[in-house]
Parts: sequence; C-alpha cells; structure tokens
Amino acid sequence: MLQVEQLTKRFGKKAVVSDVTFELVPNTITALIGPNGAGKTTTLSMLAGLLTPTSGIIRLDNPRPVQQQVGFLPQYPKFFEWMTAFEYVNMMGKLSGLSTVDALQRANDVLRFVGLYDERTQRISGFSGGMKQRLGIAQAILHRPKLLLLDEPVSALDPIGRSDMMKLLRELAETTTILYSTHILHDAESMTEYVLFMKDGCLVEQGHIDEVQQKYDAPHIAITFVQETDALQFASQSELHVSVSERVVTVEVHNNKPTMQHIMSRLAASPFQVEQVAYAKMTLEQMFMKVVGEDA
Amino acid sequence: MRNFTVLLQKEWREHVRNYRILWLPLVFLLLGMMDPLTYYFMDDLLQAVGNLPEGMQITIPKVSAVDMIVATAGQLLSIGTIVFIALYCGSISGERKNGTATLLYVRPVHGGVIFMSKWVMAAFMGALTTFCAIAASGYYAEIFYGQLPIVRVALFVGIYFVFLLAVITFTLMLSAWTTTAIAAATSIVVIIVGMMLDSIIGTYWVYSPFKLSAYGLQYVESGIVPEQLMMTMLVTGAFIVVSGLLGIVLTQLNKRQTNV
Repeated sequence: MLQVEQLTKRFGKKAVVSDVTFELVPNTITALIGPNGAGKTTTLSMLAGLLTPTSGIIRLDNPRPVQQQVGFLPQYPKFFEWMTAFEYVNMMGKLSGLSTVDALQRANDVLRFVGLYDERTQRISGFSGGMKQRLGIAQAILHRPKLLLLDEPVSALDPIGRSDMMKLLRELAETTTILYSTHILHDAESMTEYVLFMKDGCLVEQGHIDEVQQKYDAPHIAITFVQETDALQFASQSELHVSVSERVVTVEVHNNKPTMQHIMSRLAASPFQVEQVAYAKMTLEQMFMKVVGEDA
Repeated sequence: MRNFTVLLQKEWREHVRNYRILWLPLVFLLLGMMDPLTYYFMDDLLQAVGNLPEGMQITIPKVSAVDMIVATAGQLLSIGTIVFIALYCGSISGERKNGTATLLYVRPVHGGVIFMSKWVMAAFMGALTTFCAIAASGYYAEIFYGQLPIVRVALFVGIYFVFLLAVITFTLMLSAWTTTAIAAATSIVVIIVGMMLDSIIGTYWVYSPFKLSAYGLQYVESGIVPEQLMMTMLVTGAFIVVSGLLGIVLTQLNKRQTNV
C-alpha cells in the first residue's frame, strides 16, 4: 500500500524527522503516536505531498500522482468560511479531478456520510468545531482516496464528537487504509490495529498492537482500591514493584512472583477496602510511556 | 483550464459574499464624483462653511470638463492605487497564513492556476472601478462644464488600466513571494515612492512603468499623444509579464509555506 524508506526532513540543521521506515497494511488503521514535537505532523505533511523530504523514499502501489490517491486532514482544518458546506465540498471535488456530475454526486454522498447533509446549505462560518472536523473528513474522502492521512482527528473534540469520529473512521477502514496521529491513547486503543511510536523524529517502535503489547508487557496485577489514600498507603508499604495511578495500584509480576494468592492474602490482612483485583493487559498508555520513556 | 474556472468562481463568490463587488465600485464612484462636484460648488461651499471675512474675493479659475477628468485621474493614481495594494497584498500570502490554502495545495492544482485566478479577478475589479470613477467624473463634468472628448477619455482609461494592471500584478507577485505585511509595505514603498522619485528626478529617463501615468495625464490634458507613450506601454507590458511569471513560479514554490 504505502512504503516509506529512511524518510528524513531537516529544517536547517535540525532533523525533525530522521530515518523513518515503515509500511502500511491495506485497509487497516494505523496510529502514529508520539509526544508533541515528535515529528508526527511533519511526517504526515510529507506523505500528503505538502513538504518535500530532505531524503528518503515514499512509495505508493499505484503510480498516479500522490494528490489523487491521498486524502489529508490537518489538525486544525481551515475552510473558506464564506462558502456553504456543499459549495466547499463540491469545489474541492472538482479540484481533485472529479467530473462535474461525479463531483456533485460525491459532494452529496460524503456530506450524508459525515452527517452534514441537513446543514449543507449553511455557511461554514456558523459551524461548530465538531462539524468542521466532520467537514474535514468529508473533503478528505471526497475523491475516494486509497490512503487517508489524519492529523489528530479526535484531539480537539468533546467525548460525543470523538466517538462519532471513531465510528466514521472504523466504517472508512473497510475500504481505506488510514494513518492517523494522536496523543489520546485511550481512544486509539479501541480502534487501532497497528501502531507507530515516534520520538524526537525517530520511529522507536512499530508493529501490530498485540505484538508490541506482548513485547513490552510484563504481566501485572491491577488492584483497584475504593479510596485513593488506601492505594497510596498500600503502595508505600509494599516491597513489590508497584506503580500507582489514582485508585489503581499496578503490581509487576516477574517469574510468577508475586502470585495472585500472595496479593490476595496481603489484601485480606490489610484494613483497605478493595474494589477489584485482576490480571491486566498493558494499556496503550503504559506501553507508550515504556517505549518512549525507555532511553529518556 | 477547468481548475482555473473553478477557482475563478471561488474568487468571484468571495468578492460577492464579502460585498467587495459592491462597495469597491461605490467607493470609486464617490471618488470620481468628488472633484467635479466640489469644484462646481466651491463658491457655495466656501460661503456655507468657510467663515470668510466680509468682502473677501476669491477668483476660481475657469476649468473645462477635461480638467475634471485630470483631477479624478490624479485621485485614481494616488488613492486608487493604495486601495488596490491594500486589498490584494494578502490574497495569496493570507490564505497560506490562515491555513485555508492547505486543503487546496494537497490537491493537484498548480500554483499558476491559483495565481491567475486571483489576477483575473483583481484585474476585473480594476477595470470595473476605473470605469466607475471615470464615468462618474465624466457625467458631472459634462453636466457642469460641457462636452467631453470621449475618445480621448476612453484612451486615457485604457492607459491608466495598464498602469493599474502593473500595480496589481506586482502586488500579487509580492503576495506570492512573502508574507502579507512585507508584501503590503514593499508594494506601497516601491509604487508610491517610485512615483514620487520618478516625478522628481525622472527627467533622466523616458521609459518606466511610472512614466505611463504621467504620459497618460499629459495625453488627456493636451490631446497629443506623447511620442514615448508606445515604448512606455511596451516597457510596462513587459514588466507585467515578468511580474506575472515570477508570481506564478513563486506561488508554486511557496506552497510548502502553508500553515498545516
């Protein structure tokens, strides 16, 4: 689908993206994850053809020009606000090379798909943030691109807008390859198959989310306390490898030690009220902290 | 070509939606009316608001209809030029800066098409406003001061329009090249200061785009075609072509400066 080899971008002497190599699997969702300033936007801009790489190769299966095969949504999409949603999408369709009839048809189709059909004759200036983000998706999928590049598509949205957006993306992933950047890991977890971890312009980890999980996952037991103070107290008294986040204490398990029985008996002997004790999978966030934090 | 039509339609729509298509001709209509009206009613105006001492005598020189066109032309050259620089210095760099251009630039649209769509729209506004100003001025000039030499005035409008085209092309080229503020400042300095310099020490050369306005005025005043006019037209034409080509190249090159 898309192959990227040793992609590098320098601004002056500073390398913003260096030696990035990866490949996307067709019709999957890949998350590009990294802290602010890791080079996510620069990478996406190069893939979208907005920036020319300093060196490296971007290869698409199809030899047609990049612009016709790729749909791009910037982090803060800006529209000609004096246009109506329909006028905007229709114009962009024509500029993407659709025939007049097709552009008309597609404009209506994509607006219906993103749920803006009833607002199609309204000026964009009156749109809310969520509506603009959906309009951004509409203009990105207009020309039926095989590859969709989305820069932080959910970060600026409220929870409802976010879940709407993720539903749209999941639907799109049936026919499209999606690469999107994010730093909201909780959302990414629920819809991502592949992950690319970026840090300081370099890809530090990549692969299927399950594989990466396996690689970094030391099995652990998560204890949820009723009181946050109890959690803190338990953690401070413990000689085990633990980490605390709010009411949850995570105990790392090495060579089957400590065992669940050991933990249970410890808890039974303690005065703390426990809500839940369970073997837990590593969350994307913990994985991210581990991968990115490694050489920090 | 299709992209050009689509983008020109976009420019037109923008001009309609922000009412520029309406208020800009109106401003120039007023600009054109001002000179003949104030001249004609100067006496009454002075008596009404002048607070002049008793027995004061003012002789207002006799003017002709053509003098009114000359006066309006002077307005066009100063105020009109500045208005056009101010309105169009941000039309390319502004879209880059506010990020609206980004979603255009990810599509297969050449910078030249973007530049030309803006240029054609600005040129159209230039023609429209020039016509409004001269028509308004000419209308009152004829009412107050008698017959105007229509052909002479029409020819002058043509000459002035070529000068305005040079201003527009230069401004758009700078807008493609730099940021809005720099484009505005440079345009105003180069064109306004250039016009001044040209009139002060311009005796050392005979052909320059700035001279075009001077020759135009000379022609409409006297009715005699200055012998350098043809050559100056050619020089200005070349200036427009070079600025335009430069603008096209710069629009394409500076696509990468768009705010993502």
